[in-house]
Formats: sequence, structure tokens, C-alpha cells
Amino acid sequence: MKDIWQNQQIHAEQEDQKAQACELDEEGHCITCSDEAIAVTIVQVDPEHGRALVEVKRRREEIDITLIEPVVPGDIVLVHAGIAIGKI
Amino acid sequence: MKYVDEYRDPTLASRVAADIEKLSAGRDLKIMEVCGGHTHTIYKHGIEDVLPPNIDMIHGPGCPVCVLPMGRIDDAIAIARKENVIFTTFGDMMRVPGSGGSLLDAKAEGADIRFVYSPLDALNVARKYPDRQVVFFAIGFETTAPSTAVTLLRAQAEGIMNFSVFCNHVAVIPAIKAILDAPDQRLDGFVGPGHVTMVIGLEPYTFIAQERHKPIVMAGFEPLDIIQAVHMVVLQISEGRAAVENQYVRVVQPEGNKKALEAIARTMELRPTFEWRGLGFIPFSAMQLRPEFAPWDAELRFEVPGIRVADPKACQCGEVLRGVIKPWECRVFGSACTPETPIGTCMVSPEGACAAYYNYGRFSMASERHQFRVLRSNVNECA
Repeated sequence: MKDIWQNQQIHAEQEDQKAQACELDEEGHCITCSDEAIAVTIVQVDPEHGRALVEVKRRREEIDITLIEPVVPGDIVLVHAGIAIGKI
Repeated sequence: MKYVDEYRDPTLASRVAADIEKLSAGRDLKIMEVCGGHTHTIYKHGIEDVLPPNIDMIHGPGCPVCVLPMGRIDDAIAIARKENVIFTTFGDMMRVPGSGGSLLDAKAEGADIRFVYSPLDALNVARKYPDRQVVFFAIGFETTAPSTAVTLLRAQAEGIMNFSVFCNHVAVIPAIKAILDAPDQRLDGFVGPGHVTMVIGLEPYTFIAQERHKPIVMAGFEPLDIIQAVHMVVLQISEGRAAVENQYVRVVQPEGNKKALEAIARTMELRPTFEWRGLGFIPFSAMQLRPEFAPWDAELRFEVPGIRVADPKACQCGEVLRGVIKPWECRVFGSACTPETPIGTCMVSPEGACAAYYNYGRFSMASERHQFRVLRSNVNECA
């Protein structure tokens, strides 16, 4: 599980270095700046470290899940700035 | 997700809008949507064209990028320029103009400024570069404050001392109160911020209904969420009621997210006062780090100018943020001030009312409807 996340992290860092400014989604929306959370699907859970791997649009990301009730793969949570703050 | 289609069904939208027209009985009503995300949805999906013409949506100060005064941007740039600092920020703050340029300009001049999606990413940078001072530019309402709080708790637990936060989190309730206190406000109700409320719960909004007698309904971010919330506001007005209601029941719990609130309370406290662009100084409206987290407070670690900078003379962002004028009524909208050459923050952030209108609303009938309302009220005054 850890290796998958390390690879995801390296890939995400490489993508980030290319970005110069806000990454707008296809609706011209900056999620972070709009103070709006987005719905993502839980793929894998690491309860010991309070993290989960989620699927969001084109890629997989690691998020913090310490502020919500326990989740399982398949659950849909609302994420903002890398932290899950609600559940649907 | 399939339910997105249901929340964008134009037939259903028209039906709800027709009911709003019946309930409002031709009465001119001004309803403020507080959240920048709602402003964006309203313009993008032409919601004002669906709603009856007597409903005027007023755009509130719910864009955390837009409400930061230029002096704070200057302070951020001052920190970014310090030796050995890696300055991390959400992407949209890069282009916001300070008095002498933006973070992007500072980056072009050699400052090490990096774009992150999350403060946790910034903490990773601090782990990766233990000899550098990593600073995170924290902005946002209560939706974003939990992420900063969790990051600070992790930094404390792991003893990561080369990390600090330049805290500019702001609170929604004092902003709404300041708008209600303004002598020029004529609002009849509010559409409340769905994800802020997911964190803070419904109780903080009680004074709006009980003391100020204005209905407020928390809304989701799909077009039908907003239209339904407007319906709930207008229904209250038609029945002579004022209450705090929740349209966004699939997400918002009345008690909010207690764990998130606890994380914020452990790491941050309210500043005695803070300046909001367009609203002036508002007491107890923004957050600073608690004394226990002083080692991670960038304002204590670094010297910042702390100078109050007035907006450019041509800029009318303040009036737009308070809902006094519409974007197209600003004297520099679309001419000197465009998304490519922004003067003020309402145009810089995609969630600002001016950028949202420039990108989407110009293709709606919003300004024509507004002219019609002004004309009609002038005619009524003369009669």
C-alpha cells in the first residue's frame, strides 16, 4: 500500500511542478479558492495513519481522513485542501 | 456521478422558478448568496435568467481571495522574499496584485514560491527540505481552516520546526453581520454557504433569523440546489417567517463537523480585529494561531511590513463585495479591469463576482434585467 502511495506522490509532485497558477477544472472553477469541497470516492483506507487514497477526476490522491467518521472503499467524501471534511 | 444530472434538470428548474414567481407575487426581493462558489454557479448556469425578474441575486463577500486587503498580500510577498524561505500558496493567490506586484512577479524575480493543493503538501516540502524555512499562506473561510489546523497539529506532533503558517483565515458569520449592519443594505434573505456550514453547523446563523428577521437557507452547489434554496427563502418571506433552514441536507448536519471545529479551536483563536477588503475592519472576524502554536506562526517568526494599503482609486471591489453595485456597474469593468489585466481581487479570482460575470454572465440577460428593474422602480417613484 505504501509503495502505491509513494508512486502517486511522486507523480503528483511532477505534475505540480508544471503548474504555475490555479488549476481550474473543466468548468473554470478553482475549488480551493472557492472554499468549496469536492466529492471523491474512497479507494483504499489507512486508518492507522488517518489517510486514504481517493479517486478524483483523472488521478488518485492521498487525503487526510482524521476529521470524519470511519470510511470504507466506495464511500463518497467531501474533500477540501487535502482533508476530508464531510461525507455524503 | 449520476445525481448531478438530476440537480441540473432544466424542466424541474423552470417548475420551481414558476412557483417562486407565484409565491413572491411580483414583490421585488433582494437575496444575497454569500459564497463565491454559489456566485460562480449562478453565472455559469444562468440561474438569474431562470428566476423570475423580481428576484435580484446580490453577490456577497464569500470569496476568500477577494476579501484580503492589499497590505496582507504585501506582507506575504515580504515573507516570500526572505532568504532561505520556500513560500507555499494555493495557486490563485499567485496573481493577486499587492501594492508592488504579485507573488507571481516576486517568483519571476527569484523568490522561491511554490503552488500547493493543501497545507499538508507544504508540510511535506518542510520535511523534504529541513534546512529551509517553509511558510504556508493560509487563506479561506471555515471550509479551509480545518486543513490548516490538521497540518499544524501534525507539525507539532512530529516536531517539524522549519514550517510556519501565515494565517489569513476569515469567518463567515462576522461578514454577514457586517453586511446586515451596513446602512445601505436592503436585503430580504440569504442563501447560505453549504460547505462552510458543513463545518460550523446551523446554530451560528440563528441571530440572522431571530434578531434581524431575515430568512437564511443553506444551499448546495448544483443549480437546482440554489434554485430550491431561493424557493425556501421566498416561501418563508411569503409566510412572514424568518428561520435558519437547510436545503443541503445530503451533506450538512445541523451540528456541523465537531472534529473539524475542535481542530480549529485547538490551533487558532479569533483576532481582535481584521481588515476585509470592501468591508473595513471587522472585530473577531479572522483567525490567528493560538499562543501554544507560536513556534509555527509566520507573523512571529518573520518581520512583515504590516502596512495598510488602500485600494487603487479606480477599484470598486468594495462596493461589489458589499452587493451595492453589480460587476458591470464598476467603472473599470471590462475596460481597464479584465481577467488578463485585473485591478482588483473580484476579477483576479475565478470565484470573484467580476471574473464570474466576465467569463459567463455577459452571455446572460442579467444586466438587461437589472436595467429593467431600475427603470421600473424609477417609474414607480414618479407615479
